Amino acid sequence: MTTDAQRCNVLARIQSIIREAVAAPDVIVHDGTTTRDVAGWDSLTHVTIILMIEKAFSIRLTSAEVTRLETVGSLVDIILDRGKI
Amino acid sequence: MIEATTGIAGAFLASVAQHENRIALWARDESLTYAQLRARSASIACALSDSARVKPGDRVAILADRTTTAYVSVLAALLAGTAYVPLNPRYPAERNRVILVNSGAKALIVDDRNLSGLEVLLDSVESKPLIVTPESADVPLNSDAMRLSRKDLPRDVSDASLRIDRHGNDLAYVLFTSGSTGVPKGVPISHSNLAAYVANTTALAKVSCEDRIIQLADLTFDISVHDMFVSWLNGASLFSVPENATLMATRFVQELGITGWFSVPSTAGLLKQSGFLTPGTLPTLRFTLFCGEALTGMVAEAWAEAAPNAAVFNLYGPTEATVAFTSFRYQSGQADPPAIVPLGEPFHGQSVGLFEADGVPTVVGGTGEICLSGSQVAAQYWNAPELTAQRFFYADGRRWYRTGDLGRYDPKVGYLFAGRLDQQVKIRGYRVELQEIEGAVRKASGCDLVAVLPWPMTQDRGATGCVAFVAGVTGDAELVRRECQRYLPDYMVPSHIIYLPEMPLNANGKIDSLRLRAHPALSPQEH
Repeated sequence: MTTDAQRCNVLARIQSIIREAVAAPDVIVHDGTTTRDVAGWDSLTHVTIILMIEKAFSIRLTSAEVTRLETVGSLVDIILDRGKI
Repeated sequence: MIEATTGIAGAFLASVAQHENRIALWARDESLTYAQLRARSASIACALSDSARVKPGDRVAILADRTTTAYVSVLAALLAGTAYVPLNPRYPAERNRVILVNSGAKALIVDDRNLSGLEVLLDSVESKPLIVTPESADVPLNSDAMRLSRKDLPRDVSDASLRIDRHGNDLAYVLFTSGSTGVPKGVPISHSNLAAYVANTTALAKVSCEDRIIQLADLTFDISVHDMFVSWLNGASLFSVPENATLMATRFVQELGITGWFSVPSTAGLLKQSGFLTPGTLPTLRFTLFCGEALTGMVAEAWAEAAPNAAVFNLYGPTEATVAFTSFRYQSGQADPPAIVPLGEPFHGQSVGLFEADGVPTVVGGTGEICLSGSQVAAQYWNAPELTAQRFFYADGRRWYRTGDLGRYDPKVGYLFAGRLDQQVKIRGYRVELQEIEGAVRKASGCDLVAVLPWPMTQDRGATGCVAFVAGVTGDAELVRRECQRYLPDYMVPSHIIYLPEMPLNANGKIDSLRLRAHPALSPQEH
């Protein structure tokens, strides 16, 4: 079972990765953030972010998981489900 | 395979009867068997027919991301005896509105993801279509349009309730492509056109119910037509990749055991450039089709190495000839691959002719405009008799469509691409009329003196973007660019707006594109 602190921790690490990928150090993301909400998050950036997250958390997303990435929260869920915290 | 009296919808139902428990569709990690796909689409079709707003022969527009709802909606339109008209959630609302209004769609099917954009889309549309929201029962709409939601959709619809008694000339879909008049032009494709195409590519790639076909194109791009109907009329399975995950397509191929691939060459080029296309990466692929822009030998060779078990075909053909019209099988392992892979020979029952500007056939071996004739060629443009008269003509007792492409014939390899006659270019694989972009820049800048150039150019005479020149005035380039985003899809929005004191003209008084091309902003180091 994951705690709120663990979720916040994963979210903070993901936010840091997204900031680096879109070159915007002030971007704030939350569970409901979608790719459309962040300027510069195009399809190329999307793949870059996925690859950076895979490296940071030592995981490999399945294609099924890639199709479920609707929001930042869904990404947090996948990482927590894998126990990579 | 396809009966003249029941068209594509009837052929789909026959496929369902044969393959009902096989997977027909996988999208956003949701799978539907053939029986489930039929049940969901038949339900919407029946609601459309019962609504009294939609009758056979009408058009039904679809606004949806690549969810199961998008694909279900395509089949629903056909099972209701109507033609589907795809809108694109990634287009500006203004462009979707123009397509919606020009198509005269009587209904609009929307997935929940795009409900929030509905108010803007329908703003100022006088004759509101019936809105169908098959995913949602309760979400309120800020529109006075009539609505059918999930709770209005019937269950257990029998085949007898469906309107599949179609004549071959009835329309299956209307796709809108970039138009030179500044507004998108509609290309209506009939059941006969589509049936001929499906039969031809099924035979070419030997598609069977064992195939697992990947889906990478938006519904507004006719490669999606191939993916859907070649899969479903053969009992094969269609696997949809989300819009923003195309660059991860190799992962989908590997994990899902994909056997069939169809994309523009740019997608393969991008995968290669990003390091995803290494030798042996795609062993499950049995066939690969490329179309939509020139295929370079370099990309074809890289692909053949990555997919060693796949037959690689270069296809050629405009939307007006139903997805693709000619094919050339690329033989890998060539020490000296061709710069551009040939277009090859026309499909069964189709004819290619090379003509001079005055409609006279070119001399043998000469270069001429590629014209197409046969059962895959559309009858006309949608509501555009003048354009139809310009692009379609009769010669040798046949009706021909002028592609605007130049070609020549080599008996060893078939037809070869030799450039364009007009201002049309391919930007990232999309067919684009520069005049349409110029029209948007004029509107955005308030200035008449506008010229647009494709830039930067690619090796295969396409481009990855474009740049606009505005002369005789000054203004805020970024503001103009942002305004263009209201009218044009991303790939058509100029990356730069360059203000010039005056427009350079050549001796004939025409805009001198060579001098524009020499502008310092277009130098290689600026790229």
